[in-house]
Amino acid sequence: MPILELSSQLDLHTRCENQVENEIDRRPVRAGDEQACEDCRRAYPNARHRPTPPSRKYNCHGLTFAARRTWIWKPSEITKILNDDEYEPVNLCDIMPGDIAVYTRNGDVEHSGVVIEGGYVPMILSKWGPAHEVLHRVNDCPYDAMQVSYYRITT
Amino acid sequence: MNPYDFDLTEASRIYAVANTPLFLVRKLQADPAVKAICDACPGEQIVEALRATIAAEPANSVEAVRPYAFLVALWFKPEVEHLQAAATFQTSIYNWYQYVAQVLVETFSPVQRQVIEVPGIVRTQSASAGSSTPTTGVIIFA
Repeated sequence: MPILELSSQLDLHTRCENQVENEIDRRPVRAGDEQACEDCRRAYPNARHRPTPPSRKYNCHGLTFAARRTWIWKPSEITKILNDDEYEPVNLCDIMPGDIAVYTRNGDVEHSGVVIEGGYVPMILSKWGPAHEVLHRVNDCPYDAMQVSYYRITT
Repeated sequence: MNPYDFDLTEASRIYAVANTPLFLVRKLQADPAVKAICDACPGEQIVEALRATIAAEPANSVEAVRPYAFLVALWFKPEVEHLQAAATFQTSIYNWYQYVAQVLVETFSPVQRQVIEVPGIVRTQSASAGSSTPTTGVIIFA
């Protein structure tokens, strides 16, 4: 196992070979992180909370767009991925498992996840910040579900 | 009061699910504890507390969110100088610090608050007196 820095950036490119700014934080979990996960489990009893530990190595966008390898937090990077990787918007009535849900608010992309079940209130697989992974209804999470867009990769 | 005296438990809960710094900023701007820091502590005191806070590795989730809470507390101040001073600080420990500070400086708008004393007695009255389901109240200065 190589010796790695506590925090670094991976080489992560879009299909157009543009670097996606990212940061992988390898520091161990802090006191309170486990408790925060427990608080989430209690606050969202209808969601299915996967038994993954808290981690700052990846976030929701890292799960959705980078195979759980790193943390992406700049809204401009998500826009870059959606454009360069040829995602196209999908209407709610047409979404299928495998599509992407993107939560936006005031120019920020505050959350994203992978659709695992369609319908008018889709089920999403995502990760909640440094907390654990969660299977949740699109509106059953700490993020603003007023403006959720769905995308499908086209080619 | 000391900026460290305020309960940032709710802020730490938000930080625990924050995917992006802008989400954290929005939630901290709505957190009464952060506003209370602004109201109770002078800007210089918050800046000094901030300088000390970002120099140390956080030991727990409350300490991890504290610098961001202090920055937002400075954003509530009517003058921008303290926030600008805080934005010059460098830290390699809090990875969102510079970004959050920059966003707050850019979105700063000076707000003056003033208490207006209204003479007389204030009472409320339903605006739709004839309706069985009043929905609007009127404040009357007697």
